Amino acid sequence: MAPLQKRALISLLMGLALAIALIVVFVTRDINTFATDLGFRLIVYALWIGVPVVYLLLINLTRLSKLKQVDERDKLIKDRAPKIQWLSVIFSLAAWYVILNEVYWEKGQIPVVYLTLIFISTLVISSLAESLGILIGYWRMNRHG
Amino acid sequence: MSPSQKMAWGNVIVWGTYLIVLAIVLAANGTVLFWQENSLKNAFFTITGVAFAAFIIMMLFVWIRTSRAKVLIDERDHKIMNRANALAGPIAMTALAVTSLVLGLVYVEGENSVMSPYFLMYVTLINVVVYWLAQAIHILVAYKRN
Repeated sequence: MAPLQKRALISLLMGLALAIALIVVFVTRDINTFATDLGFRLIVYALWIGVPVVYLLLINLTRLSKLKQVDERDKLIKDRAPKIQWLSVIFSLAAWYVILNEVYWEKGQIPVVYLTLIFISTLVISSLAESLGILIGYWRMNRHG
Repeated sequence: MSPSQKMAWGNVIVWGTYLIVLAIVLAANGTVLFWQENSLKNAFFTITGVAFAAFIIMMLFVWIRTSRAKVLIDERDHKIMNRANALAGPIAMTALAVTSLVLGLVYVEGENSVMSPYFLMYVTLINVVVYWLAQAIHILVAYKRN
């Protein structure tokens, strides 16, 4: 396994663990308490910031270029990953739009707190998708050359 | 001119015009509650619809011309496109954050503040438009430098 591939896999797994923890926190608590409960908000912020920090540490901030096994192919895969990242962000925004519209259709109004949640989820999905994009890049290259 | 450059010019013209027209319409007639006014809502949908139609026509035009002329896309084109995508992503995310923050600041009055469901569409649209614009501008600058 290439060093970048290994780091992307670790980043994806750690990011998924934090994202699942974030979902569990929201499932176990009422969404409306987000605005009133400081402890709840701090847990959410910590889990939310954790995903991009893990990604940045593993993929961008540590010296990947110093590793001897990183070649042009790795750089090409890393450069192509943002396309998958952006598509994931767009699909997640579209999913938020459809789901919230359906849930709040009769009320005709959506709590403003969802704006924060949309931004949090987008950043988390964005970090996860870039790691996934790198892994897909390796998978495709191994399959098609 | 390469197909990427043509698409980039098209994107700058279509989405640049879209943002300018939208800003003029909303600045001239809008209030923070513009989503409650049907005429402004319809104006928004019309402008967005026309922009998307122009974008699709532009993409089809470039695609047909490229296929007929059998233009080859080389490594340099791929490299510029990959760099443009890598740059546009964080810019679009920043736009998303700023939009969420501004909407939050304008519409939060208390713990139970609400907003229009249309805002979710605006947030998505802003992300898409800013991404295409940032990508297009980077492509044009990169071709000019090379």
